[in-house]
Amino acid sequence: MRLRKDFLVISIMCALLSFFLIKAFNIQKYGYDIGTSTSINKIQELTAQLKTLESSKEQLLERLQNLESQISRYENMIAENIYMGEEVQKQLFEARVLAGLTDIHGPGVEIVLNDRKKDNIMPDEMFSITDFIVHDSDLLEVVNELKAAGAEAIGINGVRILGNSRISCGGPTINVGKDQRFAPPFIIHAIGDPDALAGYFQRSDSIYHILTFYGLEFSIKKLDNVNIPRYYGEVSFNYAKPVKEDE
Amino acid sequence: MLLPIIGILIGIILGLVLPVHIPTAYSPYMSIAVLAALDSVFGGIRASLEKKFETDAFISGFFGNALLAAGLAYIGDRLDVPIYLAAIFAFGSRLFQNFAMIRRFFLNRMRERFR
Repeated sequence: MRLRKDFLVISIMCALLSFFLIKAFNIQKYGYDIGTSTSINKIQELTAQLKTLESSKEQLLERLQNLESQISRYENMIAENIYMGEEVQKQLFEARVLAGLTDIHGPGVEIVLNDRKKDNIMPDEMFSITDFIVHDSDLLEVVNELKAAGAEAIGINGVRILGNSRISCGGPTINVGKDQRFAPPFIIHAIGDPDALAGYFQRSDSIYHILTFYGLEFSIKKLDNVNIPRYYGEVSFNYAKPVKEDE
Repeated sequence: MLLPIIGILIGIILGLVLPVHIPTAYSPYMSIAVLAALDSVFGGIRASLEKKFETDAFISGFFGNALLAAGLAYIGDRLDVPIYLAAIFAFGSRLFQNFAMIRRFFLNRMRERFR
């Protein structure tokens, strides 16, 4: 009789144990299944792909530079030959600067925007993990505040932001400009009055306070000289046409 | 003899059916608690085979070990010291010992029967 009671108790505990075992298995299944995405083959394949793409990008950039130097040679030749040519050329260059087609530098700020670091605070029920990462809307708002503060040129991770640049959600990344996508950290350069640019984020309704409340990294550094590269890409209107005065 | 197996099956079915989810953040502690509980069950089987089984000691050991192991792992995580290794070593080696005793018990019994 005694053995039977032993086995009853053990059976109950076995039931409890296997219950928790199943739960532990399920956690593993949902939590850590990365699958083949981190296998060595995949990594090598992706690195090779990255290398070919980078070399083709470099070739294309070189070609662009060649073509542009050709254009400037032609422009120089024409400028020498026509009346007021140099003046026209100067104005053309100024228009290019305003259009964002030249590398540019000047005083400004550098903003580093990054996800919340992994720390030893257990995630609270009140917050979800999405509160701790940089979203496209956050980046967009930072850029918008920079514009409002009078920034004359803005670049995100070396990509010039123009009027037609988009900032949109790209899953784990953020699409910036025409075809770039970045993962955090985002380094935003802006040229303008450094005090005005940095001071704008101290307003009580600035995105700065919201993001730092959630523990995101958001640092603003005033700099005497900020370099922002030119816009690479095509600016052309297919549909829009200027209104003529006499029409 | 059939009862523990039925218990395991009931546990598996309940585990699959009941919509209780353990947060991913707690999964390492959960795994270690399961290891401790597994050790307790093996110890219980061994004790009952040796006719030294005590219900209260078994149940308190089952929950106490599991909680202690999970608690140690948690403290270790907070202190950045892998204390959970202590639990793994202790319960792991005892698990094998218990299993060895259970194995011997059945082997002896079979030998006697064949003699």
